[in-house]
Amino acid sequence: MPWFFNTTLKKIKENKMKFINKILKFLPARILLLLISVSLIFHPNCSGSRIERISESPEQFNIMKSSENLPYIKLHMKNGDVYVLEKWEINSKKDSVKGIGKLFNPQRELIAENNYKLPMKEIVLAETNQIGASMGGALTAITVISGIVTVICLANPKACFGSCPTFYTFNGNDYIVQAEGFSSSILPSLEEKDIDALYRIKPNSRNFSIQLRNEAYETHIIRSANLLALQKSDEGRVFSTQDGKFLQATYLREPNSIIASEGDISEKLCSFDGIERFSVADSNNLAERETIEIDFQIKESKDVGIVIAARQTLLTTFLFYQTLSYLGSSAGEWLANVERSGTQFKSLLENPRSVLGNIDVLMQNKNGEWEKVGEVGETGPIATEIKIVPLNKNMYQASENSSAKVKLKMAKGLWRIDYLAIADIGNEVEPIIISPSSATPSSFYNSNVVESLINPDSVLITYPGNEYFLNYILPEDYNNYELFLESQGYYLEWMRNEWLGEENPDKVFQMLFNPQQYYKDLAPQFKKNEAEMEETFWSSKYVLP
Amino acid sequence: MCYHNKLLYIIVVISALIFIGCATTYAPADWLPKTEDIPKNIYGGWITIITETNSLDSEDLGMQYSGEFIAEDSSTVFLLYDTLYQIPKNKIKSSILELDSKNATGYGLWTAGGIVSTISHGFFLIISAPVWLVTGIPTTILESSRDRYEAEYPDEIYWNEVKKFARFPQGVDGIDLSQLKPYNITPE
Repeated sequence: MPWFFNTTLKKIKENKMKFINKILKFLPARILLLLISVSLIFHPNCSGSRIERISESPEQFNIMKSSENLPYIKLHMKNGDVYVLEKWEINSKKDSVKGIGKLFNPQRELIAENNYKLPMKEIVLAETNQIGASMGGALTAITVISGIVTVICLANPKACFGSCPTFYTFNGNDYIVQAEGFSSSILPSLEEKDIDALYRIKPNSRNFSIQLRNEAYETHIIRSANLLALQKSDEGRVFSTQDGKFLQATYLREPNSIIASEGDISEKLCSFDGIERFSVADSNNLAERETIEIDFQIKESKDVGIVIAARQTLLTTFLFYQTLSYLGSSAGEWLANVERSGTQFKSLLENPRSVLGNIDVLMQNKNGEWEKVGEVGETGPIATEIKIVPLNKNMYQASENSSAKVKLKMAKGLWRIDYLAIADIGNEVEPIIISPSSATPSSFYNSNVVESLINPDSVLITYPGNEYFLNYILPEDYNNYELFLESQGYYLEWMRNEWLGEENPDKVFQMLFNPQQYYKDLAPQFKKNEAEMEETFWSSKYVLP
Repeated sequence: MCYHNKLLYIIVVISALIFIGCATTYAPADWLPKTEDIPKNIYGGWITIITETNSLDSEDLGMQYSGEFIAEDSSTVFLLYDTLYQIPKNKIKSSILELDSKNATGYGLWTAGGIVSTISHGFFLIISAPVWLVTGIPTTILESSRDRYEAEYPDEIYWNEVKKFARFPQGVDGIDLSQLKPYNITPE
């Protein structure tokens, strides 16, 4: 095993132990205090009861016949004998009771077993008992719930836990997830920059904070986490493009119609509000495409673009974890090969990614053929990313009508689209790069957090459960700027025992060299879990979109 | 402390917490009926009585009597063990009456098993294990202590409340007590 991976594994192991120890350290102190309180609250003196015994003289005995809850009556006689009767009934005059049962003497020896009809006046005391519900009800309920979680997580471990580095910002009420950093950078050699718009955030002072969290069984290596501030035009916004440009945009408007296979979906996509349009994956081919057709008004001969806010479904999460399962115990070896092989292996990794693809934006050329003019898409199911795709002016001017058409083409069941709009495009703008000025906590393992993020030769390393607040100072006229987060780094996924049972190198080769078939073969497996995946994923972690 | 030792420590502490709160039973094993059998049970509950020390005799530390609760009258409690004991009420320091067998051990083990099973929940364990604990501990403790009538220096209110759980709730007038036989535990 190469040196790098050996040391990384060792570090992971060490830090996993540290993390577990941290949890264990937390548990006794707080949880045990809670348990002691609970134990005191439920001290034996505060006992409850399941047995309700009704014991009265015959004159006062008001129950007239047996029932499911009161199947037996015990009739105590003056001499100590006792009758135990079932299917019993007291007559309407209340002068006799009849039933089937047994007679015992005072020594409690069985004397006789018969149908009895006894005069009430011979009875000294009548007694019946009702048994309440078992205390095990609560445990049964919790067992069922806990069992469901266990079964889901064991049967479908690929749906549990996963996330990438997550960044939260304050929206006035709470910290909401705004970005997931470098989701496809799963190795040091795949380290890359990632730009996420902080579109829904309105800073209320120059001091701006971002909360950085590690919420999964992953080691996050973060080289930088800078804010990008971009000058907005009046009443406008700034959007990034897939190739990293920043464009001012104004006059954001709804298209005339947005037609998907299920009909007009304009209502779902009219605002950036968490109401998303998504479809289910194809049953036979996970790379099967679908099309959405957008019709929009052309008013003037301005440059326009289409604004799309979207995030991925859990399809890519499933595929990533499934691939790690196929790598199994040799995952380290495979990944080390990627590190060693330079660009050769990395280009192979592009194969499966390109077959699934992004959201392609197409326009009709003068021959009536649909031509790709741009794309949007970022790996990751957590944060919704908003981007703009400039449309080719020549193509929509060629249209004879006052409206133009655009098509979105994407893999079925891969994208959740939240918002779609048409905007007039203004100038391209350059960002002001703002590095963090301070952090809380300010250090990690004897290193300074801010220095680690500013110095390109050092990194901030986080482990599950780590949280940092990164503080930035915005320009004085901060309201005139659109903010983006630019993070750079990579992360290492921790292998889980559940993933070691499916090792299959042939499938890995198939993924790299014949991804089309790979996605066809995996379709039935994904479809089995697709319906519950989203719920399982979000219920197994704390972060919500 | 290594991880396994810590885990062991936590399991021991949690187990102790579950069982510390549990009420002790004085009845012999298998003597008490199952709760579901109470409606047709023909014996009294199991009563444990501790009598007061004799203030004139410094060596008298009081007595503990345990047996089937036969009856009570205005001055005496009747209890059957190997023979019939008649204990003056004014000598009784404490009384504990148990009616049925409890499933507290089962619930304790159920809770412990549930906690262990949350290992499969990954991070979600941080929520599911405490949920098990805050459900399991009260359930186990309440199960052990339910349908148990306990009093220090029991008064008439106490005896009026519990006499319906005696073999002869109607009292012992007219009953030949010399012939009484204790309930023999028969293996199932």
